[in-house]
Amino acid sequence: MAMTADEKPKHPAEIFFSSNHPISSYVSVRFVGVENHVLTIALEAPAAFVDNEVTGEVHSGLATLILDTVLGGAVMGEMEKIQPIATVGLTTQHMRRAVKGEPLLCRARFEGIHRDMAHMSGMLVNADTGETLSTATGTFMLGTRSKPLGARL
Amino acid sequence: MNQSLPQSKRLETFEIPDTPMRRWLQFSATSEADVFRMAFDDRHIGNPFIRALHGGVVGSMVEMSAEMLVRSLAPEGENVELVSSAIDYVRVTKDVDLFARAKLVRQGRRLVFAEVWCWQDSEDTPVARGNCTLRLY
Repeated sequence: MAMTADEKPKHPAEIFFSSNHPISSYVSVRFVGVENHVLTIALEAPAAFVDNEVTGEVHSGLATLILDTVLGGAVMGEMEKIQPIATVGLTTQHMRRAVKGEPLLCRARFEGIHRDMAHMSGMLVNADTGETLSTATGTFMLGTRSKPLGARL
Repeated sequence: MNQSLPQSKRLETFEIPDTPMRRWLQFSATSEADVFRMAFDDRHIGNPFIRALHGGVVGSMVEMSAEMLVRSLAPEGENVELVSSAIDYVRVTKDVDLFARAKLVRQGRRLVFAEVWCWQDSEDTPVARGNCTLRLY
Protein backbone atom coordinates (compact mmCIF):
# COMPACT_ATOMS: atom_id res chain seq x y z
CA MET A 1 0.00 0.00 0.00
CA ALA A 2 1.37 3.44 -0.91
CA MET A 3 2.39 5.79 1.89
CA THR A 4 0.23 8.88 2.34
CA ALA A 5 1.78 12.37 2.37
CA ASP A 6 1.54 12.83 6.16
CA GLU A 7 2.96 9.40 6.99
CA LYS A 8 6.63 9.53 8.01
CA PRO A 9 8.85 6.75 6.62
CA LYS A 10 9.53 4.12 9.24
CA HIS A 11 12.96 3.98 10.84
CA PRO A 12 14.85 0.83 9.70
CA ALA A 13 14.94 -0.38 13.30
CA GLU A 14 11.16 0.03 13.55
CA ILE A 15 10.74 -2.09 10.40
CA PHE A 16 13.16 -4.65 11.84
CA PHE A 17 11.24 -4.94 15.13
CA SER A 18 7.80 -4.99 13.51
CA SER A 19 8.75 -7.62 10.92
CA ASN A 20 8.06 -11.32 11.31
CA HIS A 21 11.34 -11.99 13.09
CA PRO A 22 11.52 -15.31 15.03
CA ILE A 23 12.06 -13.35 18.26
CA SER A 24 8.53 -11.93 18.01
CA SER A 25 7.14 -15.43 18.63
CA TYR A 26 8.31 -15.40 22.26
CA VAL A 27 9.04 -11.80 23.25
CA SER A 28 6.66 -8.98 22.48
CA VAL A 29 8.91 -6.00 21.74
CA ARG A 30 7.66 -2.51 20.90
CA PHE A 31 9.65 0.13 19.06
CA VAL A 32 9.77 3.30 21.18
CA GLY A 33 12.08 5.54 19.17
CA VAL A 34 15.56 6.58 18.11
CA GLU A 35 17.19 9.76 19.36
CA ASN A 36 20.84 10.80 19.08
CA HIS A 37 21.87 7.32 17.90
CA VAL A 38 20.12 5.65 20.85
CA LEU A 39 17.45 3.09 19.98
CA THR A 40 14.85 2.30 22.65
CA ILE A 41 12.66 -0.81 22.69
CA ALA A 42 10.00 -1.69 25.29
CA LEU A 43 9.08 -5.19 26.43
CA GLU A 44 7.77 -7.21 29.35
CA ALA A 45 9.84 -10.00 30.88
CA PRO A 46 8.15 -13.10 29.40
CA ALA A 47 6.99 -16.11 31.41
CA ALA A 48 8.79 -18.46 29.00
CA PHE A 49 12.15 -17.33 30.42
CA VAL A 50 11.37 -17.90 34.11
CA ASP A 51 14.24 -19.66 35.87
CA ASN A 52 12.92 -19.56 39.42
CA GLU A 53 9.24 -20.39 39.66
CA VAL A 54 9.09 -19.37 43.34
CA THR A 55 10.37 -15.81 42.85
CA GLY A 56 9.33 -15.43 39.19
CA GLU A 57 12.85 -14.35 38.25
CA VAL A 58 13.74 -14.86 34.59
CA HIS A 59 17.07 -16.26 33.45
CA SER A 60 19.93 -13.87 32.69
CA GLY A 61 19.80 -15.33 29.19
CA LEU A 62 16.78 -13.09 28.50
CA ALA A 63 18.94 -9.99 29.03
CA THR A 64 21.68 -11.45 26.84
CA LEU A 65 19.18 -12.30 24.11
CA ILE A 66 17.38 -8.95 24.21
CA LEU A 67 20.58 -6.91 24.35
CA ASP A 68 22.02 -8.85 21.40
CA THR A 69 18.79 -8.27 19.46
CA VAL A 70 18.45 -4.57 20.23
CA LEU A 71 22.14 -3.80 19.74
CA GLY A 72 21.87 -5.59 16.38
CA GLY A 73 18.66 -3.73 15.53
CA ALA A 74 20.38 -0.44 16.31
CA VAL A 75 23.18 -1.36 13.91
CA MET A 76 20.50 -1.90 11.23
CA GLY A 77 19.18 1.58 11.96
CA GLU A 78 22.58 3.14 11.30
CA MET A 79 23.22 1.50 7.94
CA GLU A 80 22.45 3.27 4.68
CA LYS A 81 21.49 -0.02 3.09
CA ILE A 82 20.08 -2.98 5.03
CA GLN A 83 22.44 -5.94 4.93
CA PRO A 84 22.90 -9.03 7.09
CA ILE A 85 24.97 -8.59 10.23
CA ALA A 86 26.52 -11.06 12.66
CA THR A 87 27.41 -10.74 16.33
CA VAL A 88 31.17 -11.08 16.77
CA GLY A 89 31.42 -10.39 20.48
CA LEU A 90 29.03 -9.64 23.32
CA THR A 91 29.97 -8.83 26.90
CA THR A 92 27.16 -8.55 29.43
CA GLN A 93 27.08 -7.57 33.09
CA HIS A 94 24.07 -8.68 35.08
CA MET A 95 23.09 -6.68 38.15
CA ARG A 96 19.63 -8.06 38.81
CA ARG A 97 17.40 -10.54 37.03
CA ALA A 98 14.07 -9.28 35.76
CA VAL A 99 10.87 -10.71 37.21
CA LYS A 100 8.10 -12.20 35.04
CA GLY A 101 5.88 -9.41 33.69
CA GLU A 102 8.29 -6.62 34.73
CA PRO A 103 8.11 -3.67 32.29
CA LEU A 104 11.52 -3.17 30.70
CA LEU A 105 13.25 -0.78 28.35
CA CYS A 106 16.26 -1.80 26.32
CA ARG A 107 18.46 1.00 25.01
CA ALA A 108 21.21 0.54 22.46
CA ARG A 109 23.75 3.21 21.63
CA PHE A 110 25.61 3.29 18.35
CA GLU A 111 29.27 4.00 19.22
CA GLY A 112 30.76 3.86 15.74
CA ILE A 113 31.70 1.85 12.69
CA HIS A 114 35.28 1.14 11.67
CA ARG A 115 35.79 -0.73 8.39
CA ASP A 116 33.01 -3.36 8.53
CA MET A 117 32.69 -3.58 12.31
CA ALA A 118 29.99 -1.77 14.28
CA HIS A 119 30.59 -1.07 17.96
CA MET A 120 27.57 -0.79 20.24
CA SER A 121 26.69 -0.46 23.90
CA GLY A 122 23.39 -0.94 25.66
CA MET A 123 21.45 -1.41 28.82
CA LEU A 124 18.29 -3.10 30.08
CA VAL A 125 16.40 -1.06 32.68
CA ASN A 126 13.15 -1.19 34.62
CA ALA A 127 10.73 0.97 32.61
CA ASP A 128 9.15 2.54 35.71
CA THR A 129 12.12 3.22 37.97
CA GLY A 130 15.04 3.35 35.54
CA GLU A 131 16.95 0.81 37.66
CA THR A 132 19.67 -0.84 35.57
CA LEU A 133 19.36 -4.62 35.32
CA SER A 134 22.05 -5.40 32.74
CA THR A 135 24.59 -3.58 30.61
CA ALA A 136 26.38 -4.79 27.49
CA THR A 137 28.87 -3.93 24.80
CA GLY A 138 28.79 -5.67 21.45
CA THR A 139 30.62 -5.81 18.15
CA PHE A 140 28.84 -6.72 14.92
CA MET A 141 30.21 -7.54 11.49
CA LEU A 142 28.40 -5.84 8.62
CA GLY A 143 27.68 -8.13 5.68
CA THR A 144 28.00 -11.85 6.25
CA ARG A 145 28.88 -14.77 4.02
CA SER A 146 31.87 -12.97 2.52
CA LYS A 147 34.72 -14.98 1.01
CA PRO A 148 37.22 -16.33 3.54
CA LEU A 149 40.30 -14.18 4.07
CA GLY A 150 42.57 -16.69 2.30
CA ALA A 151 40.47 -16.48 -0.87
CA ARG A 152 40.98 -12.73 -1.07
CA LEU A 153 44.79 -12.74 -0.72
CA MET B 1 45.21 -22.55 34.50
CA ASN B 2 42.29 -24.94 34.29
CA GLN B 3 41.40 -26.72 37.47
CA SER B 4 40.09 -30.27 37.24
CA LEU B 5 36.55 -30.71 38.48
CA PRO B 6 36.81 -31.34 42.20
CA GLN B 7 33.51 -33.17 42.66
CA SER B 8 32.88 -34.84 39.32
CA LYS B 9 30.81 -37.55 40.96
CA ARG B 10 28.27 -34.94 42.09
CA LEU B 11 28.19 -33.41 38.60
CA GLU B 12 27.27 -36.80 37.17
CA THR B 13 24.31 -37.17 39.50
CA PHE B 14 23.18 -33.53 39.36
CA GLU B 15 19.68 -33.01 37.97
CA ILE B 16 19.04 -29.95 35.82
CA PRO B 17 16.04 -28.04 37.27
CA ASP B 18 13.04 -28.24 34.95
CA THR B 19 12.26 -24.53 34.51
CA PRO B 20 10.41 -22.71 31.70
CA MET B 21 13.80 -21.33 30.55
CA ARG B 22 15.30 -24.84 30.33
CA ARG B 23 12.31 -25.96 28.29
CA TRP B 24 12.45 -22.87 26.03
CA LEU B 25 16.12 -23.46 25.34
CA GLN B 26 15.58 -27.26 25.12
CA PHE B 27 18.61 -27.61 27.33
CA SER B 28 19.64 -31.04 28.59
CA ALA B 29 22.50 -33.05 30.00
CA THR B 30 24.47 -35.52 27.89
CA SER B 31 26.35 -38.73 28.66
CA GLU B 32 29.40 -36.57 29.43
CA ALA B 33 28.98 -34.83 32.79
CA ASP B 34 30.35 -31.44 31.70
CA VAL B 35 28.73 -31.37 28.23
CA PHE B 36 25.26 -29.92 27.68
CA ARG B 37 22.98 -29.95 24.65
CA MET B 38 20.51 -27.48 23.17
CA ALA B 39 18.08 -29.28 20.86
CA PHE B 40 17.46 -27.05 17.86
CA ASP B 41 14.08 -25.39 17.42
CA ASP B 42 12.98 -22.82 14.84
CA ARG B 43 12.55 -20.22 17.59
CA HIS B 44 16.34 -20.30 18.12
CA ILE B 45 16.93 -18.80 14.66
CA GLY B 46 18.35 -15.28 14.57
CA ASN B 47 19.02 -14.86 10.87
CA PRO B 48 16.20 -16.46 8.85
CA PHE B 49 18.04 -15.98 5.54
CA ILE B 50 21.00 -18.18 6.38
CA ARG B 51 19.18 -20.12 9.17
CA ALA B 52 21.84 -19.17 11.73
CA LEU B 53 21.20 -19.36 15.47
CA HIS B 54 20.45 -16.10 17.29
CA GLY B 55 23.59 -14.73 18.98
CA GLY B 56 21.58 -14.24 22.16
CA VAL B 57 20.44 -17.87 22.09
CA VAL B 58 24.06 -19.02 21.83
CA GLY B 59 24.85 -16.58 24.66
CA SER B 60 22.04 -18.05 26.77
CA MET B 61 23.40 -21.54 26.13
CA VAL B 62 26.88 -20.44 27.28
CA GLU B 63 25.44 -18.84 30.42
CA MET B 64 23.16 -21.76 31.31
CA SER B 65 25.96 -24.30 30.79
CA ALA B 66 28.30 -22.36 33.08
CA GLU B 67 25.51 -21.98 35.62
CA MET B 68 24.60 -25.68 35.61
CA LEU B 69 28.24 -26.68 36.01
CA VAL B 70 28.65 -24.35 38.97
CA ARG B 71 25.28 -25.29 40.52
CA SER B 72 26.29 -28.94 40.36
CA LEU B 73 29.53 -28.23 42.21
CA ALA B 74 28.30 -25.63 44.70
CA PRO B 75 27.96 -26.64 48.36
CA GLU B 76 24.48 -27.80 49.38
CA GLY B 77 22.15 -24.84 49.97
CA GLU B 78 24.30 -22.31 48.09
CA ASN B 79 22.65 -20.28 45.34
CA VAL B 80 24.37 -19.35 42.11
CA GLU B 81 23.92 -16.16 40.11
CA LEU B 82 25.59 -15.08 36.90
CA VAL B 83 27.50 -11.81 37.26
CA SER B 84 28.91 -11.40 33.76
CA SER B 85 29.59 -13.17 30.51
CA ALA B 86 31.86 -12.42 27.56
CA ILE B 87 31.12 -14.33 24.40
CA ASP B 88 33.10 -14.60 21.17
CA TYR B 89 31.26 -15.87 18.12
CA VAL B 90 34.06 -17.63 16.28
CA ARG B 91 32.17 -19.36 13.47
CA VAL B 92 28.79 -19.09 11.71
CA THR B 93 26.10 -21.35 13.17
CA LYS B 94 23.38 -23.35 11.45
CA ASP B 95 19.99 -24.86 12.23
CA VAL B 96 21.10 -27.95 14.15
CA ASP B 97 21.69 -28.85 17.81
CA LEU B 98 24.26 -26.92 19.81
CA PHE B 99 26.60 -28.52 22.36
CA ALA B 100 28.60 -26.87 25.12
CA ARG B 101 31.46 -28.07 27.31
CA ALA B 102 31.83 -26.10 30.52
CA LYS B 103 35.09 -26.00 32.45
CA LEU B 104 35.87 -24.58 35.82
CA VAL B 105 38.67 -22.02 35.66
CA ARG B 106 38.76 -21.17 39.35
CA GLN B 107 36.42 -21.64 42.28
CA GLY B 108 36.84 -19.19 45.12
CA ARG B 109 34.74 -18.73 48.26
CA ARG B 110 32.33 -16.26 46.66
CA LEU B 111 33.14 -16.21 42.96
CA VAL B 112 33.50 -18.92 40.36
CA PHE B 113 35.05 -18.43 36.93
CA ALA B 114 34.00 -20.78 34.14
CA GLU B 115 34.86 -21.20 30.48
CA VAL B 116 32.44 -22.64 27.92
CA TRP B 117 33.09 -23.82 24.37
CA CYS B 118 30.17 -24.45 21.99
CA TRP B 119 30.08 -26.51 18.81
CA GLN B 120 27.62 -28.08 16.38
CA ASP B 121 29.27 -30.57 13.97
CA SER B 122 32.46 -31.32 15.84
CA GLU B 123 34.12 -30.12 19.00
CA ASP B 124 37.17 -29.40 16.82
CA THR B 125 35.24 -26.66 15.01
CA PRO B 126 33.79 -24.50 17.79
CA VAL B 127 31.19 -21.86 16.99
CA ALA B 128 31.47 -19.82 20.19
CA ARG B 129 33.39 -19.54 23.42
CA GLY B 130 32.43 -17.74 26.58
CA ASN B 131 33.91 -16.70 29.89
CA CYS B 132 31.47 -16.41 32.76
CA THR B 133 31.76 -15.06 36.29
CA LEU B 134 29.29 -16.43 38.80
CA ARG B 135 28.52 -15.48 42.38
CA LEU B 136 27.83 -17.98 45.14
CA TYR B 137 25.52 -16.66 47.84
